[in-house]
Amino acid sequence: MMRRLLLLLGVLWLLAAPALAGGPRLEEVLAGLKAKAQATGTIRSRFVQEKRLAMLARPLVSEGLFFFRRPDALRWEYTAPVRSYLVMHAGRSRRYSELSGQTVSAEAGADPLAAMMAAQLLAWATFDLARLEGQYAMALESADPVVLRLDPKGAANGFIDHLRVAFTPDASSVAAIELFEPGGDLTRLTFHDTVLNGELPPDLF
Amino acid sequence: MDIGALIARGVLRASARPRLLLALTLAAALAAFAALGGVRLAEDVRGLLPDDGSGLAEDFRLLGLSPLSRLALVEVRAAPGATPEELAAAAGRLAGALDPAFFSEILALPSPAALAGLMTLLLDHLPDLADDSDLAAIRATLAPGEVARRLARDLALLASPEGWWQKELIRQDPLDWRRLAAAKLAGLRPAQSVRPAGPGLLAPDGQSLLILALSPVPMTDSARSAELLAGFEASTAALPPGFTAGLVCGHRYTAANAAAVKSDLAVVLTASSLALVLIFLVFLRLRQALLVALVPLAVLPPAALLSHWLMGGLSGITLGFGAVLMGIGVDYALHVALALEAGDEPAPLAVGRVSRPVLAGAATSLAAFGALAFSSLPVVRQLALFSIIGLILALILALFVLPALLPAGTAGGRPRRPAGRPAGLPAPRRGLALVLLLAVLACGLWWGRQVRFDADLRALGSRPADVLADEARVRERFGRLRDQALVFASAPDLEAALALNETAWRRLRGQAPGTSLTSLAPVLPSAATQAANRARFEALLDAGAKDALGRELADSGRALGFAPGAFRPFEDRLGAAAPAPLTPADLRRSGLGPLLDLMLVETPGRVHLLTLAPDDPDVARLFPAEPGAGQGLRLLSQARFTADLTRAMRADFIRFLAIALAANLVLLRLFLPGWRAVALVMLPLAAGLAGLFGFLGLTGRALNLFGILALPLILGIGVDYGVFIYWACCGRLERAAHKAVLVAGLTTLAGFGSLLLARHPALHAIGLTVTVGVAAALAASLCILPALLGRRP
Repeated sequence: MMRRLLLLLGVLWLLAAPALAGGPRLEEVLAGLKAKAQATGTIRSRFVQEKRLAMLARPLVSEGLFFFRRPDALRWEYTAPVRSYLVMHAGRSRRYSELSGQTVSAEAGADPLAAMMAAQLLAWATFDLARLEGQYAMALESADPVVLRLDPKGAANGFIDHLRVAFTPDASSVAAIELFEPGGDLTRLTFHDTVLNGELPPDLF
Repeated sequence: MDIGALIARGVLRASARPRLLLALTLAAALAAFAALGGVRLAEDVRGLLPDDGSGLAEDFRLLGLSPLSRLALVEVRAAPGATPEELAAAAGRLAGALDPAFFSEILALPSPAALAGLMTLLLDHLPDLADDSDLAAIRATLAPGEVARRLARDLALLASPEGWWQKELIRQDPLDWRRLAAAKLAGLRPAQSVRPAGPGLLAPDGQSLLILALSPVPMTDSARSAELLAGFEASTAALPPGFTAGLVCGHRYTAANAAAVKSDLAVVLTASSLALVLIFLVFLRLRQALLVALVPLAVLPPAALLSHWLMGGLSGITLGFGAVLMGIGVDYALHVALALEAGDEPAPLAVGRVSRPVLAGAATSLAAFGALAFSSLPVVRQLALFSIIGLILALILALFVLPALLPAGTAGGRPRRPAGRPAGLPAPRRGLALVLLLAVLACGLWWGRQVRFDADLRALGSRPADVLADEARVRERFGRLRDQALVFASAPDLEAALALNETAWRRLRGQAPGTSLTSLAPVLPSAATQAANRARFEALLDAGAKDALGRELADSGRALGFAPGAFRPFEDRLGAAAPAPLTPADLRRSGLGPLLDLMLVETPGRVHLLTLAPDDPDVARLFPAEPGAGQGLRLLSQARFTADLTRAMRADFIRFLAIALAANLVLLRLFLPGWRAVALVMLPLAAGLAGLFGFLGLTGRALNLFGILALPLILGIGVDYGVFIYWACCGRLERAAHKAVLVAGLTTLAGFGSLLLARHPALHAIGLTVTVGVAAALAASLCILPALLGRRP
């Protein structure tokens, strides 16, 4: 009787094992993302940013444009409701806000805030795996489409509880980023009209 | 009784036991030498500062209190293409690898996270810190419509990526008063374009990072300085490939000076020894040479030991420079040895005859060194005592010990030549000699007027090009961290010192606007000022104004989409009871500890607060140098320090010349038959000084401290030569006197001339001063003076 029971359990395990191991592992997904990211020379995309903050009575919705050229040129531009942008190129930064009407340019290292913002935006929006793996612990929430959960390592990013990054169905680019803050505030960035490896005007940066 | 007869009698007695005399002399010298082994030489530069109440010593004492005097700057340079973040990480690795034995404290500046906490603290205390201009700025934010405008800006900020960082600050400070607090923090930056990063300050180009460290190694300790530099080099191995680091601190100068002196000594001693051996071989017999050379060697240890006992310490400068000055001691032995060599009379008589000019020369030299005893510089007084003791001992050895060991007649009974010039020297014409003399004196007077005094103590040391280049590089990127003037606000307690510090700040801000200042005053006023500030703030924002502001925030906020209570932290702060006044402990807890360590110094019974300001005349004018005029405020400025020291040196120089010349005139008149003779004897000295000052003026060189210290040597030697030539020409000495003057002059020139080969500025300066002065005096003694004396009976 006992022998039969053991045999049955063995058969069941053999049948179940492929199902248990059927989904791709995180490493495989990341390797795939990395390969696709490396094949990306430029990104042009529109985005909608929705901020749900406790200090706001209603969501704060902004629209904008995102441009990236490998290795380190970034333009993060809000077009509505208030135009502003942040440009980072070869270590130099340029910030503009319609409200102040001022453009602030800085040499490399002179505007640490801009550098930090640009570094984070670049890492998230281009899914710079080398950088992100150092800062976040990653977990696979969904394989198709790929959705990753990123939890900050240590207290380096005090304003982030965790991130959720969703990719397009073909996993070629980031479709949405949700940034959860410790107090419950949420920022959601949704990218659309994304063009990969297209020509970018040189004066963008 | 005649002094010569007395000396002769002494020589007779001493000659009875020559071996015992030699043994005693050597035993005394060796015993003193052994005892000196336990003496720790003072390397403290304070001995070079006047202690006459002029305030320079007090300035130096205050400077020693400042941690800035122990500051070492480590510049980390990025590898090509490295980002500022990578540079900060590399600097962090180096900071971690620095040996605490050499770099005891890294003055880490507040991190961005700490700065946020500091900003909150300053916002809490803004009512305590806000001065009139701040209140005006706050009033402007309350103007109609301005609240709504600022909230709209906050909303835009929240929408931007910056919003993640700024959200909490916006809740606490929707009207952006934090700009006022940030402006106060900016006053703590040594340079406005740098920013904290990693373990230090990042340069504007992001390619260079400065670590500020305190070193426990005294700046004057050459051995430990060399160890510190070696330790630093070893630490740089912790840097990633491509990154480099340089060190800017006083220890590099100390080590460079020690290395320069060490290599100079090898060169100089070799050159001077060869020259001396050559001179002695040409002019002296072996026995003579050995015994004459023995005199300064035997004199040095006991003179140093006696000076140490009498002065309660011995400076390295005194020993080193005094040993050089003691070279004059060999001249007495030379005169005696050559007088004995003439050998047509017994040793006591020969020595008795030569003793009179020897004593006259020694008396004038002693007077010259005695004049130095009136100096306001302690090390110069110590040097005077050391030289006087040494000269007296050299005189005793020359007059009593040497004759016992060097019998008369070593020249083989050659007949005495008649008085006058020795054979072999060119026969100068009196008229030509007079023209030459007048020309030298005229040149000295004409160009000598242009001679400057250089009291910059830094110029006395070696300043290698690579050290200067590193300093310039750090200055260019990070501002003048090391060359700033310091304003000391000193008072018996913290409150009074803080009040004084505010006074200094206001004075600098008000009367020297635009100057770059680093001060705690904006973030740490006195408790009284904080109370007054808060009272004015409360008057501006009374209960009614606060209510009105709360309503406007709510209304404008609602219209823009802010939730009710979005700015509760701001309103809570406005309504909260006044916190206790801001204290150094509060700032320390918020990450400003290292800056407080630099700028707030406590000593028993006194609290000192420092303000860094540019070292320029505008700033100097605001803080008069007269004691008491600063009312507890004292400016320490390298420029003023050098100017004050120059004044003290000039005063010392004039005092020295006046006393030495007056004493020489009196002494010479005692030894010589009339004032005309005195004037003639002084001619070589006049030619020596004229030659020296003419040369300095003509070549645009300045007279530094060591040059002044060398003057007694020129004075003493110049008069000695005059005395001997005068005695010889007047028939009271034989031709040996000329030879003695020639050999003495050549040995002096060999010794000091070899210093011209030195790289070290101080050694070179001494060599140049004495060589030029003595060469002119020697030439005047041997060529001009005999011609002028030629017609004397």
